[in-house]
Amino acid sequence: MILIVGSETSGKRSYARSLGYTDDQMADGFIDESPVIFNVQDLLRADSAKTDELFELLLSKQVVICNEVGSGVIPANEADIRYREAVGRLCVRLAAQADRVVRMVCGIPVLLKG
Amino acid sequence: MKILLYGGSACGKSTFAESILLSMPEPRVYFATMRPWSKFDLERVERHRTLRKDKGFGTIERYRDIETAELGAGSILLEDLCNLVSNEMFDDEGNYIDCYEKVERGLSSILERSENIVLVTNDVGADGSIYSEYTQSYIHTLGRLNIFAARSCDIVIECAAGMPAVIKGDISLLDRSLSERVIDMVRSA
Repeated sequence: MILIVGSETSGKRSYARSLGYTDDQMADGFIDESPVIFNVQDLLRADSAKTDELFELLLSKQVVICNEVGSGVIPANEADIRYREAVGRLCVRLAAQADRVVRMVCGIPVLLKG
Repeated sequence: MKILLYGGSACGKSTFAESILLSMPEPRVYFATMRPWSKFDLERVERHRTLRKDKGFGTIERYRDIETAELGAGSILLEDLCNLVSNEMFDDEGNYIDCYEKVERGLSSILERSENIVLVTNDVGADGSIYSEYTQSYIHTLGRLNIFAARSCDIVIECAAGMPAVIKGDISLLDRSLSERVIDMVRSA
């Protein structure tokens, strides 16, 4: 599995396209048969407690794309704090299992692992 | 040489940008895009003007319409894309404008006309918050412009805690003393 992380609009899906995946093969924040899933952070916004379940499901994907959401001011609201932390921890676990981890910076892939 | 400096707020990119500009050929020009709104802003602008004058930098102040800015000859430090996008996104009556194409054209024109330039931009898309439609559009527009600028520049450097990380390009192409300084900073990190 390849994990692609980065800021909002940093070129994550363009990088997946460069690997040969088409937009039809990319699911926007939901789990189905697609080899690629993006906006994984949205899955945790609805319910930040389902990290374990998601982790197992995402391991079977070829490409997992997730926004980095942990910078800026820590929110005052408890649900938002839990959400950001759940996304961060999920990415750490996914990265540990991934064959390759890429962080997009201004559209440029920076290889973190693999 | 065209260089993009990217990072969060107060990560040391402006100071670093100035040292890069100082390594570039004279005359050197600071291209400011911030629109001063308050007395506090004006005081800050004044302080920066004095600082830059001491360094021998000329100044261009243009918070919108950079495509038509007169550049003259010389090396440029343009600071920054985030202010430029926020100034272009709303007209003086407060009406929203989809400004991506216009700012891309402006940047493209500035980049074409300058042999040596440093562009400064921010990372605004990594805090996980959901904002109003306009702010989301701002984040998206700036993200796309950052991608455009990175593609158009020879070197892309990300700053964190004042430390530069080279994302794209060969920094040995920079002025020797500066590239050695970057290499030292990267090594000591």
